[in-house]
Amino acid sequence: MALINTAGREIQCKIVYYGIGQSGKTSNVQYIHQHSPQGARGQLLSVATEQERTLFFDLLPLDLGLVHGFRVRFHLYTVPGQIRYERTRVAVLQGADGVVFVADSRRDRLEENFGCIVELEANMQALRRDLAEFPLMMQWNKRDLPDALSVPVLERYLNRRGVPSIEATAVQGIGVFPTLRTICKLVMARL
Amino acid sequence: MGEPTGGAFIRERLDAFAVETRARRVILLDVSGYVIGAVGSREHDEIEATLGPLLTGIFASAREMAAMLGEPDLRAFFQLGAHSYIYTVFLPDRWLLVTVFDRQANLGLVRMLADHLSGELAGALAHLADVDESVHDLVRSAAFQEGVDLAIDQFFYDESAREGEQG
Repeated sequence: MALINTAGREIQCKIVYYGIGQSGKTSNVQYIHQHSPQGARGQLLSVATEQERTLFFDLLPLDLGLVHGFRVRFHLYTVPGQIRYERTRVAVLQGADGVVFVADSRRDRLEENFGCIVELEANMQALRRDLAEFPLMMQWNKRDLPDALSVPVLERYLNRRGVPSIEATAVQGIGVFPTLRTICKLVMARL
Repeated sequence: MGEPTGGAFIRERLDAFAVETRARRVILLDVSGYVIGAVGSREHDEIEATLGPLLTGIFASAREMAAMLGEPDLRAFFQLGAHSYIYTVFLPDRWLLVTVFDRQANLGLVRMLADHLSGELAGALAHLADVDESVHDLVRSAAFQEGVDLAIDQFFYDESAREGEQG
């Protein structure tokens, strides 16, 4: 849960980018790291395999500055997306204040995306977090690919809760910052 | 001595613990990886920001392993290096106490005094987790939310402006 450090006048929130393997979670965070002001971002920490697949998590600290005397910081995490890392995803999800579900828009990934959302819901339940109240949004990534499903189809099968959603092509940076802006506002509105 | 619920009290107890155990560095973390306080040698100051999330990630993984083993929790772990050791213990309800030490210290002593420190800090840490109602009112107020929205928009406006310049 968000840490409101009264003595230190800091608010610290954890945002987790969740999704199947190679859906674009790390691409999102890498783009944010490359295009954020140097003074507002920390070091991008990636615990990954030699093939640069996320093994544990990526972490990017962001500092939004002072708001009414409180320094507002966000920690952006990604989870490993491969199926065998499910327990690791649970570990990274602990303490999350907001989740961005990064969906791979491609047709042949729909079933895997759906399974991952079901898993997310189960994991949040196990962590005693009510998804109905929890800051969650969807990112429809890889919109540039020719076999990308239409957004209405993605919305119909993957966004049953009707949470905010944004189209993206993360490797080009399209939709990355709008996604981050949206989830940050959702998280802060739920403090 | 600071009042037994304040940040000064926590720091004093961490200082005393570091001296008694001869630890090189003592760090108090939130389970999400945020550093609440740290005392001791500052030679690894620059890595502390990443050390916190790594350690809390390990702890979160340990919790999953505990669940798989039918254990209620795995509340402590020890990492052995060639020259440095790290002992990490969970303090209820959401804190980790990290002790970085070398051969000058003794693991048994660190463990025992860490347990003792856990009891000493219980009240102060509970107070730390409790947010004053007035602070809650502040962060939920319309004015604060507007300020946050402005800060977020400004952050991304700056980004948009830079991309426009680069485009």
